[in-house]
Amino acid sequence: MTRLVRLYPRAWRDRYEEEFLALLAERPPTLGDLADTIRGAVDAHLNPQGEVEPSPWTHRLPGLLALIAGAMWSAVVLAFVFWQDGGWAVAVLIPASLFLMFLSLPGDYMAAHGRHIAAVVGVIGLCIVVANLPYSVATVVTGVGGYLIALGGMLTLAAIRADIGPAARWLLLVLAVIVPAAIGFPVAMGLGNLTENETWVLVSALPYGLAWVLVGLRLAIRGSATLTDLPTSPIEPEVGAA
Amino acid sequence: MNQPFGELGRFAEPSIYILVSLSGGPKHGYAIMTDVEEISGSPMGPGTLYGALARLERRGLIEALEPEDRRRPYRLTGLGATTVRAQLDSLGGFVRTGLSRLDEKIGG
Repeated sequence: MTRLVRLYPRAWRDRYEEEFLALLAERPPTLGDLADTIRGAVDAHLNPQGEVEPSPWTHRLPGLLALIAGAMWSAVVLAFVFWQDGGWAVAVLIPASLFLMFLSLPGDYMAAHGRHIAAVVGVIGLCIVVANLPYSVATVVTGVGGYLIALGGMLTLAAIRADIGPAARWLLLVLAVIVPAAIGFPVAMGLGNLTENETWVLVSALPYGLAWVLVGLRLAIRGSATLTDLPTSPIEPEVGAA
Repeated sequence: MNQPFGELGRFAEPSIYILVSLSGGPKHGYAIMTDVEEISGSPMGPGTLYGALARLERRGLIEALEPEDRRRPYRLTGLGATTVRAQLDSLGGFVRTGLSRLDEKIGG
């Protein structure tokens, strides 16, 4: 239960964490308390009180794009697994979701730092997607290996940027490195072409989609700028604001 | 719900309960929570309590005192006292009107 406090924004935790934990220690928490704490954490992100200005919508856009991309990716994988007829979806929606992922990462960098690296990441990403598009349309699923490799790199970047705590970040990093290495490279090297029966490859790509949904949700709620510029000073009451 | 409670959304009602609780003197989070449960008859979760406390503090209706161990007491400000009094007066008028109309209906 006390670990749930980590769901709250850094500024909120700096101000209220100690007393909040003291409160939780004074009575055994119920399931209702658990749900209420999670709901409170979502509210604290969406409606920060005190001196933290809510993120402008432009800073939430990269997260929203990542969220949509992850949802598209997951939907394609599930459709392919359950209906075995996802060829067109793999050919169209996965490149589209990758396109959104590539857009979301440079957007995140630009929102947070305005660094030139954002443009570089974006251009490289676009090139990979565009180069893979005709190949993917022609061969339907054999392009998946290349996508997995590209996706692994993007997920690594997203995991670093998402500020989601050491354990979850390491889990994402491991997923980003091991899965492409185990699946992506052999497929990309032509050592194994996928058939519609070999859905395990796509199933194993499902964590990517779900991870992007989580990372995107995190960035969409908090906004990019708040990841690095969190204030640590206590909230000063604004007397007379009412 | 009148200002400033109208803009508090789902935290409006818990906020009034907290202000009424603090009208009896400074209290820390757990004491507020148990007092509110007594007043309202229903439990208030920790997320709701601190969501409301943050909003009330932000608006200057309550203020935090020096922490005692890990617990931090809160007290009503002058603005908070005026605000909760006005709110309770308004609610009192509403209750009296409602009861009076109900009596007329039953009596008539």
